[in-house]
Amino acid sequence: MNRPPAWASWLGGSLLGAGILALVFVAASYWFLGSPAHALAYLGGKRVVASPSIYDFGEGHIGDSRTAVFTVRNLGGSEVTITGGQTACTCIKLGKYPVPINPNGSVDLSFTIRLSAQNPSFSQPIILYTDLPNQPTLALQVEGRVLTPRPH
Amino acid sequence: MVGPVASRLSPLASKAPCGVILVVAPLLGCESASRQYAPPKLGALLATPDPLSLGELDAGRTADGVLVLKNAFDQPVTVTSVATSCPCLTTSPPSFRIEAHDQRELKVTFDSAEEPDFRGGLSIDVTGSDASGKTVFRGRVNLTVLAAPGREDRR
Repeated sequence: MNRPPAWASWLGGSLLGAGILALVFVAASYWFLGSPAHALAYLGGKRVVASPSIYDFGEGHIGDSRTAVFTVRNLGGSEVTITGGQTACTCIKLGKYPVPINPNGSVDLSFTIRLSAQNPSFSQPIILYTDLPNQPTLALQVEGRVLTPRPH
Repeated sequence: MVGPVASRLSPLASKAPCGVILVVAPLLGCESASRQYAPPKLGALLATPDPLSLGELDAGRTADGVLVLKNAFDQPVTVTSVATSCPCLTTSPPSFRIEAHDQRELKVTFDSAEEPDFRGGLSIDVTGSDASGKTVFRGRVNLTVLAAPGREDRR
């Protein structure tokens, strides 16, 4: 029986090693930071992340209200404060600030959205301000489709 | 014209590293690289100031401001519609023409009467289009709405 060439053994060993490393990374990501995406964000220098970052309310009629809930998580070891917010439309209520987030903790931030005839394709940004020097803002987005007024 | 164009492109150029390596962008803190890569705000008209700041307002108050639209090109530009990202901001006049190398003022008026409970920062987009629907200018109006003095703020 022919033995596999040396390069094939080396490749197989490398792939196995990479697979094990990836598995360890994913497990550690879930254990320490909640998800691999959060781990990647942490490695990229981010200390606060939002989930979801884009909230799609689907469809709604003009005059309807929707509530978008974003979970903002503090990946760092010290308290972070959401100091304020900014939108492009008064149709999104920002709530009250400041909002502190404990180390490795999270808060749910709710935004009430009133649908108007301004844009049938609703797409509005929400910018949250933090007290983090290296991450002063956190971008969120609300999207959906606005239909004609509900028939009475 | 070269100056304003170059200055508007420079913020984009500064983000080039994130764009070049989009595949590994999340690892490098460029998670929203695609979001940051907004198309350059080039149009036939240049809106100044950019942004226009209306400052801080008490809830229920209105505020006015003026965006100056400059046509630095050799052709007249006709703006047939102006849209804003918020019903709270209206503009006047609704349509107008600016001759070559001329400028015109666009009045903007903020009124939060429809959303009296709104508090916080606003960064409102103002976009003008021509008859074909092509965007001919983009502007931005910033302001902050504060709780009116003596009024208990509601969450």
